[in-house]
Amino acid sequence: MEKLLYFEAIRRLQRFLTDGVTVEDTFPPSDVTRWLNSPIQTFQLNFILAGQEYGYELRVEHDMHRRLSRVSYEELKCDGRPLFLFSEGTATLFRDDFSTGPQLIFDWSRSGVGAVQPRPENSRLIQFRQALDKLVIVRLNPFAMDAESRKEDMKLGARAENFVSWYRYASSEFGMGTDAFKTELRQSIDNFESLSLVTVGTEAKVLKAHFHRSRDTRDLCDFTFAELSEGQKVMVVLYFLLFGLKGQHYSLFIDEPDNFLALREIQPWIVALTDLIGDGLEQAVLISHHPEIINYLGGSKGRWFFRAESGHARVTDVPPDTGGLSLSETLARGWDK
Amino acid sequence: MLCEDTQHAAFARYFLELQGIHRREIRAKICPPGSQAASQWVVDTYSKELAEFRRRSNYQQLVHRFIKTFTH
Repeated sequence: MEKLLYFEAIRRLQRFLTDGVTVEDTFPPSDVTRWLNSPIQTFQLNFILAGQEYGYELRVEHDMHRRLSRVSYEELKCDGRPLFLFSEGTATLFRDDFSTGPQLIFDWSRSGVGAVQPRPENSRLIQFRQALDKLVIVRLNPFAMDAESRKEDMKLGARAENFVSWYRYASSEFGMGTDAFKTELRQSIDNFESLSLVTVGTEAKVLKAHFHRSRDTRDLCDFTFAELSEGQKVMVVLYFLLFGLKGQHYSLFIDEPDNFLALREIQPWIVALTDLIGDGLEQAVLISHHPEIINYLGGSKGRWFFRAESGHARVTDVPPDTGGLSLSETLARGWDK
Repeated sequence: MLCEDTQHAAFARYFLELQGIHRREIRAKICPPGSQAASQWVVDTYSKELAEFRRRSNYQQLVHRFIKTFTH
């Protein structure tokens, strides 16, 4: 559960900083940590971009009786030096050379970092915001995926429910990656040939998958995205996240990517993912309980969450001692504790 | 492939891919972390895997493919 909360916290920070959503809509008082009495929630986020470390801190103050929330403190630093500071209702902007820029009274309900307009002297702040905008945080749910698109969506929804609308945007925006994506799908889905968006009515588009009728024929038959199996839908989304976004410097946060995938399909996808990291994809964080992913990535690249006696979730990069068993088997037996 | 760690797996896989074998045809089993020596795990596991591999009907075909790859 705690692993998922990390994803949720990052998603909310992304919405708050890049979508202009108010603090009450993003961090409602009902979400305050139950076992702490503090009315202040603190979030910290560190990014390394082009060799520079960006540190972001947000403090949200809640009035539990009146069910109100406001930003009490917001700060962005680059290599320990300030780029933006909001405190006590006053925002201070700093230039790229860290000299003090304008001060202004700012709205307590929104992100000041998110509201700054791009100018030549604040390129570092904008770079941080753009990097945050390029996080794809998703828990795939093929049952929730819409079959058609009425407009292009620039962001993939939390459950990939708007995949067709996002594909419509991304395939036109990042056209270069879509050929590689379709080539990979041909290797992964039997008889698959290609995908296309077909106009229906005046605005709507339907995503259609074209399949060969059999291995030996060139005749094609079409299925709408809704008619694909859950496993095929997930394969389409997972491979598009890798090859459709290749070269766009996105970072992927995927919860349980193995859900709905056939056992034999998991390792080829993990291998493709690890190959692309640093070569068009910036970073990938997967949450998984699947033995295939645990055994392949857990040893050298795993992070292990556990609950300390104090009740707080902790994370370590030291894998449990397996003594010769596979990692997944060690976990299954509870011998990791 | 039986590999001591993910780096070995990546190295061997790149080599095989350069020889024209698609990554979907390659399956890597990686030594679990722990107190044992990874090289010993590979040696120990090899005999079990080979026995199982030989039992399969497509063994001859695969061996032929690998021999062709390595003698190319």
